[in-house]
Amino acid sequence: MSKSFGRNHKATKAGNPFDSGGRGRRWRDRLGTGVFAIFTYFILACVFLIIGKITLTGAPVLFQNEAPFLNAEFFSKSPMTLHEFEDGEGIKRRLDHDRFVDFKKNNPNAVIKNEQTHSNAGGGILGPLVGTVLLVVLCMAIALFIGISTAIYLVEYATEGRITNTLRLAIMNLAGVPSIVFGLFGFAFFCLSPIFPVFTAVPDWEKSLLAIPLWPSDGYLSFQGWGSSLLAGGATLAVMVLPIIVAACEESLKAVPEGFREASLALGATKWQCIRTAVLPYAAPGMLTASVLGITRVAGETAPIMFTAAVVAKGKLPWENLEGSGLYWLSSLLTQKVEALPYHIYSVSKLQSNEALDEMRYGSVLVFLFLVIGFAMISVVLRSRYRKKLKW
Amino acid sequence: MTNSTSTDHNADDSIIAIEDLSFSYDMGKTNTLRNISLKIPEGRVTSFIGPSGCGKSTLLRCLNRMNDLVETSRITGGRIEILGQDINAPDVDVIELRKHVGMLFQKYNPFPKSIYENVAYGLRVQGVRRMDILDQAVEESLRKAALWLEVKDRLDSSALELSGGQQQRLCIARTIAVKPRIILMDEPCSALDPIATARIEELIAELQDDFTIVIVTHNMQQAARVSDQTAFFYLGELVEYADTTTIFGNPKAKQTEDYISGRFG
Amino acid sequence: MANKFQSKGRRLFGVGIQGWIKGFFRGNAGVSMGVIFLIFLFLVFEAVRFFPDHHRELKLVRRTGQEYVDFLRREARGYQEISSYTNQAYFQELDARFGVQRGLVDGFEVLQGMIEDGAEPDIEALAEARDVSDPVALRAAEKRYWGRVGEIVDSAERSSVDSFGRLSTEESAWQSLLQAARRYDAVEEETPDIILAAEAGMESGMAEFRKAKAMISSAGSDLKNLRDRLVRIASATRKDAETNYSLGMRKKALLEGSGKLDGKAREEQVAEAEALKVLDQFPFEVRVQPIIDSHDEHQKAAEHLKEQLKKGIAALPTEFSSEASKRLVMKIREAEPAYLEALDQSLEEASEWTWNEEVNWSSSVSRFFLGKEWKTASGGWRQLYGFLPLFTGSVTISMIALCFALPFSIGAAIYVNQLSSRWERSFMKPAIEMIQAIPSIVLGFFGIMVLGNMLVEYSDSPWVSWLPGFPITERLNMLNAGMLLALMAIPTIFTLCEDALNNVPRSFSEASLALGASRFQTVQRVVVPAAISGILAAVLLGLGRIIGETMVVLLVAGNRIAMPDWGDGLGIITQPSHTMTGIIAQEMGEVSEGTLHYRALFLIGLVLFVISLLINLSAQKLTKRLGAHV
Repeated sequence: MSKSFGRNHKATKAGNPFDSGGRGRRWRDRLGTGVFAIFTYFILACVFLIIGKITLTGAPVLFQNEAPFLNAEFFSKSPMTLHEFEDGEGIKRRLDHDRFVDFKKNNPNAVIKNEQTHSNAGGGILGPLVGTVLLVVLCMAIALFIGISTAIYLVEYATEGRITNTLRLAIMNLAGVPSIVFGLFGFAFFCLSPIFPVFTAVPDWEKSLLAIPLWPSDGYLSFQGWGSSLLAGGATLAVMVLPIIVAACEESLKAVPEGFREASLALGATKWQCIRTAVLPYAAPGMLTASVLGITRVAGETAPIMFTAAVVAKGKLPWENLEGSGLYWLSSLLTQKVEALPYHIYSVSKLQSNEALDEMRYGSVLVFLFLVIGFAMISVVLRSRYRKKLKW
Repeated sequence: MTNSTSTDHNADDSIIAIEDLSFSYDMGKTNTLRNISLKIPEGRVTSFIGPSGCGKSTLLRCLNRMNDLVETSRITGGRIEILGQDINAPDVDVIELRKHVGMLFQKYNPFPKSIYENVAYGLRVQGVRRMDILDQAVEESLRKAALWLEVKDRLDSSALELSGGQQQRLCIARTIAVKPRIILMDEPCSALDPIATARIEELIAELQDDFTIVIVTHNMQQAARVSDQTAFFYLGELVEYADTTTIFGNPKAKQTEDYISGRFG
Repeated sequence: MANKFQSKGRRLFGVGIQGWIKGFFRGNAGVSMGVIFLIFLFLVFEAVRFFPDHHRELKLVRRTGQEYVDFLRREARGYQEISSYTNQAYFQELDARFGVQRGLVDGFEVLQGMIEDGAEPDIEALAEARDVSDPVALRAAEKRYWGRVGEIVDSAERSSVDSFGRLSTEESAWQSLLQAARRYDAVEEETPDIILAAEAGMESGMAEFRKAKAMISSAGSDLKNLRDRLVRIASATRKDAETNYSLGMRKKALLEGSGKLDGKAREEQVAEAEALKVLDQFPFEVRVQPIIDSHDEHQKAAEHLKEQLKKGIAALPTEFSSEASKRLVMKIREAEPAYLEALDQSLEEASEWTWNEEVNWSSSVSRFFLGKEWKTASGGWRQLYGFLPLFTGSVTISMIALCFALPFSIGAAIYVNQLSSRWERSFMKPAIEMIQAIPSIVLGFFGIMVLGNMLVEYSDSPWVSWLPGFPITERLNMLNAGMLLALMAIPTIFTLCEDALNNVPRSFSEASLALGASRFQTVQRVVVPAAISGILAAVLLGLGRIIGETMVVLLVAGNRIAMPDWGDGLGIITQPSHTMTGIIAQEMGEVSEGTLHYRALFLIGLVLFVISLLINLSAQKLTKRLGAHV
C-alpha cells in the first residue's frame, strides 16, 4: 500500500491519483483469490470426474444403438448368474441363466466348453429397483402421515412449553445421528420386539408373545415382531426421515401468514376448518418439497436397511408366489425381505472383478445415482418455485 | 376519572355490555385492561381512540374472543355480554360467537383465492353448498361493500390482484357475507392511502344501517367523521365514553382534551 | 336465558368433534415423541446390559483357565513372529545368493513330477522290461520312454517350471536343467549331478544361517506343544461349563412350566427335568487343576525358549547379499529385547495368576473401552471385545477426511460467497450442494473400483512416493476412505459456512471497503473473523457427518481390525482399518439377539449416538453465540 498517497501522487506515471502505486497488495489479493478459486474448481472437478466415470462406463449397459435405445432387458429382469462358454464352433457366448437353461433344453446335444459362471453378472436390476421403490413408498407413507400430523400439532394446537421444546430439541438433534444407529434401533425395535403383529397361518411360537386365533380362517394374529422385512425396513427409514419431515413441515406451516388464520376464524370457521381451508392449502407446496427431500434422503441410504429389510438375491418379485389371501397376502407381502438397489450395489461391489460383472455394476450404480440425483434436482426446482410464489 | 359511563342510552338498546372488565396477556401477572365498563348501542358506529398501547385493540379482540389464540391470555375480572349473553361462559361456542361478531383487520388479509371464493368462504365453512345461494350472497355482499361494479367481470381472478383499498373492501364483503350483527374493525384504514380511506369511510356510513360497527382508530379525524359514539382509552383504562360530538367538542376529562388537541399521543 | 351462541356440533363421549381432531394430531405427535424416546431407550437398554454379561464372560474365562492359557498364546505369538521373520530372511538370502541353484532344484522337482505323471505307463513298462531283461522289448521301452520324456520336457512351459523366474536371466542354467531332465531316468530315480551340485552348493553356502534358523525354529516347540495341550483342556472345560449352564436353564424352565400343567403331563415334564444331569456347582476347581499344575512346565519351556532364541539370534549371520534379508534380521535383533522383556513380564503375571480370584467390575468396562483386540468369530478360542481399534480407526479416518475437507470446503465457501462473479456463483453453489445427493454407497463403489487402484498405481511415482505411507500397497485403506468421506463432508461444511458468511452484516464489509481495504483484505480481516463461530459449527457438523458414515468405510477402509502400526508415523494413513460404524454394519446381521456380541454392537451404537449428540449440541451452542454476537 502506498504510504504517501496524496502528497506524492504526481510521482505516478499516468498521473492517476487513484493508482495504488504498489504492486504487492494487488498480487497478494489475486493470489489469495486464485487459491480459493482453485479449491472450488478442484471440488467441482472431482465430482465431475466421479459422475463422469460412472456415466461413461455405465451408459453402454443402459443404452443401445438401435430402437428403443434403452436396454429394456436391464430394466425388466432381475439379477442372475451369467454363463460364459464356447459352443461347438468355438465361438464365445454369454447367456443369462434363464436363457442358458432354455439353450440347453432346446439343444440337448450342444457342445459346451470352458463354461464359466459369474454370479450377479447377468440379467438386470428389476428386483432391486422394485424393492427400493416399495421401501421408499412405504417409508414415505408412514413418515408423511406421522410427520405432517406432528407438525400440525406443534404449530396449530400445542401450547408452547416444555414438551414442545423438548420435542423440537430432540428432532433437531436426531437429524445428526448416524444412519447406522437408526438401523440398530430398527432391528431391535421393529424386527425383534414382539409388539408388532403379523397375520400368519403358522406363528413363530418361539418368538410370539401372543397369538390370537382368527376364527373362521385357520390363521393367527401373532405378535412376533416383523422380522427383517419390507415393513421393518420402511418403518426404520421412516423414523430416520421423520425429523427432516417434521422440521420442514413445521417451517412451511409457520410460513403461512397469521392473517389467514385470523380471517378464517373471524368468519366463524372451526379450528379444523381453519387449518384445512386457510392453512394447509398454502403450506402444501412446502410439504411437497419436504417429502421429495425426504425421498432423496431415504432412497440413498443403505446402512439402515442392511439388516432390517435387505436380502442379496431373491429370484422373484415381491408380489410373486405369496401364500394366503386378503390380510394374509398383505401380511406376507409386507413381512418378506426385499432386494434393494443400494444393498445390491453393496453386495456386488465386493465380488471379484470380471468384465461382465463390471458392466452390470456400473449400470446399476448409474441408474441408482441418477434416480437419487433426479429426486434431489426436483426438490431444488420445487423449492425455488415455491419461494418465488411465496409473496403474500 | 374512571368509568365515566355514558348515560345517553339505556340498557335496552345496547348490543354489547362490558362490565368491569380486566384482561391480561400473561396469565394475570399484569393487566392490559383494567376495570372497563361500557355499553355499545345497536345500529351505531362506536369508535375506540387512544394512544398506542392503550388497550383499544385488545378490547376489540376480546369482543369476538380472538384473544383466545394467545395461549396465556386471561379475563381476570368482569364480563362481556353480547346480545345479553356472557360470551365467556363455558357453554358458549366461540365459533357461533364469531359468526355473529365479524372482524376486519388492520392489514387487509384476503386469502390467495379468487374474489368469489374469498367472499363465499364464510358461508362455505358454515356448510352452505348450494351455488345459487352462494352466488346471490356473493353478489349482495360485494354490492354492499361497493365493490361489485369493479369486480363483477373478474370474480374468478385472484384477490391478490386487487389494489389495497379494494382488498380491504373485499375483506368487508367477506365479513358481511356471513351476516354478522356486529362488525369489529381494527384500524381498517391504517394500511391505505387517503382516497381508499375515504371510500372505506363512506362504506362504513352505509353499513351502519345493517350492522353495529365498532372501530378502533388511530386517526381522530376519522373517529370524528364516522362514529356516533367515541371511547377514549389511556393506559388500559377507559377515560371517557360519550357521543362523538361531546368528546370532540366538550370533553370532560383533562386527558381526553389533551389527546384530541394533540398535546400527546 | 337461552344461550344464543350454543354450539350446534355433535359430541362423542363428551368430546366435541374439534376435540377428536385435536386428539388425533396430539396422538401422532405422541408417536413421534415416543419413537424418538425409544431410540435412546433401546440403545441404552441393550448397551448397558453388555457390562454384566461381559463381567460374567471374564469371570468364566478366569475360572476355566482360558485367561492363563492366553499368557502362553501371547508368548507363543511373539515368538512365532520372530521365527517367521527368520524364515523370510533365510529364503530372501538364499534367493539372493543361490537363486540359480534354487531355481534348478525347484525346477527339477517340477519337471520330475511332470515326467512321473505324464509318462506313468511308459515308466511302468520300462521297469517291467528291465526286470525281465528282454533286450528287444527293453530297447522298445527305452525308446518309448525317452521319446515321451523328451516330449514332456519340450512342451513344459517355462513359467510353470521356473515359477519365480529365478532362471530368467540364466539361459545356460535353464538349458542345462532341461538337458538334465531329458536324461532323467524315472525308474532309477537318480538325481542328476547338476542338481546335486546345486544342492550341495546351497547347503554349504547357507550352513551357518540354516543352523541359526533351525535353532530359532526349534526354540519354541515345547511352549507351543504345551499351549496346544492347554488350549484343548481349557476349551473342553469351557464347553462343558456352558452346556451345564444351558441345561440348568432348561431344567429351571421345565420345572417352572410344569406348575401350569396338571396331572400326568406335569409328572412327565418334571421327570424330563429331573432326567437332565445338571451340576449345581460346576467343578471349575478340578477342571482347572491340570492348567495350574502345568506352571512349572510352562516356566521350563519358556526358559528353554529364551536360551535357544538368544543363541539362535546371536548365530544369525551379519553379512548379507540381500538387502531385504538384512533388514529383516535387523528387525529381529531389534525385536529381541522387547520380546524377552515381554516374555518375562508375562511369566511373572502367569505365576501370580489364580483361578478363583474375583473379577473386578471396572475391568468389565475398561477391557471394553481400552481393549485392543476385537475378536468375535464364533467357535474361536475366545471372544474379545476391545473397542479401541475401532475407535482409533474411526477417529483416524475422520481426521484424514477433515484435513482434506477443511481447506476445500471453507475455501470454496469464501470464494463462492465473497469473491466469485455472479455467473460463477449461479452454478457453483447448486453444484456443490448437489454432492450431498450422491449416495454414500456410490462413493464407496467408486472407491473400491477406481480410487483404490488409482492410489496404488500412482503412489509409486517418484513425485509422491516420498510421502509418509507411500507407495501404497493396500488398495483399500484409510486414506482412500478419508478422501471419499472428505467429499461427503464438503457440501455440509460448505453450505453451513456459506450461511455463516451470509449472516455477517453487510455494514461490516462496507465499512472496511470504505476505509480503503481491498475485497480480499476485507474477507480476510473482517468477514471471516466475524463468521468464525459459524464456521466452527459447520466444521463440527461436517465431522459428525464423517464419523457417522457407514457404507464408504465398510467398503473402502479395508476392514482390518487392529491397532494401527504406530511405527509408520504419519504413514498409518495408508494402513487398512475398521471402524465403529463399519463393525456394526458388518456383524449385526449375523449375531443372535441377546448375546454378548449383540450387546457389544449396541454399546458401540450408543457411543456413536452420544458422540453425534455432543457434536450437535456444541455446534448449536456455537451458532447461538454467533447469534448473540451479530
